[in-house]
Amino acid sequence: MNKNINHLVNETLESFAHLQKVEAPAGIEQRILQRINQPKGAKEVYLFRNAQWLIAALVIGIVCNVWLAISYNNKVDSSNTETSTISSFESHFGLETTTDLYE
Amino acid sequence: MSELQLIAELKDGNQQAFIKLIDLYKHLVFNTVLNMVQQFEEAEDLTQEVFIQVFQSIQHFRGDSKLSTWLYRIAITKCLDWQRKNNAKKRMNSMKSIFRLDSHQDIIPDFVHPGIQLANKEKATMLFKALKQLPENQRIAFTLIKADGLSYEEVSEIMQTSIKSLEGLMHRAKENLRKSLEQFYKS
Repeated sequence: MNKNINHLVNETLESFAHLQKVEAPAGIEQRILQRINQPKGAKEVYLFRNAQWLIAALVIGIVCNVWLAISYNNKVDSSNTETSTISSFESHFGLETTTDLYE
Repeated sequence: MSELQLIAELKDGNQQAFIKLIDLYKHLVFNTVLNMVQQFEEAEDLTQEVFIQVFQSIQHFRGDSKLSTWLYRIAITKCLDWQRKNNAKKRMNSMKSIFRLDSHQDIIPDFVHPGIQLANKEKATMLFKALKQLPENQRIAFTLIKADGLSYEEVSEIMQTSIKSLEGLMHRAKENLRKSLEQFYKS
């Protein structure tokens, strides 16, 4: 059994010895020359296609920044409201600062 | 036209010389790329890219090695780049299938080399399949020597390594291939 497998493995390892060369596809020269001589515009379109991911990432980045800025402003606004509530409380009881309450 | 003349004309930007270069080496490049990537359409596309690369960087060719050696090096580098991109794509696809974003997965059929004789078809196909499991350097060495039929001297120049380390690579490649083929034939 093992001898048989060894024989098969050896034969398989040598199977490239009978590999024949393949001809390159017909007309490959023209296709290479076409790609080399393609107008600049086509290259730019290709570059733009590649750059679209970069543009998408930039747009997402800008949106995230704007969102963060808005949410930060809201936070600041709400903390300002809190401060103004404390000030009105202080003025109602004639206190200069909230610490006066504890004195 | 001698090789030196051809190189000089290529450096001058002579398009006829470039056509001559493609004509001389298209089969060599195509066969090497085909044996490496094991896909006919991709091999054609990569062959085109090899010649475009040659056209763009002929000015940097110093002539320290033969033109064919330089072409082999570019072809191998292109194949490895393609392989890495392909592996990354496969990883992405398997990630997608984990998260069920895309249940469709590409099933690549076994590569049947067009130059295989019918009697050897099954064994050579098996060997091509086993080759995919090898580390890069072992795969390059084995493919260039066994499939492309290059000598150890030529391959050591292409891979920029000593013959001794190339022999080591070949030994390890054969050992690894033997293991995976044994596993296959036992199962």
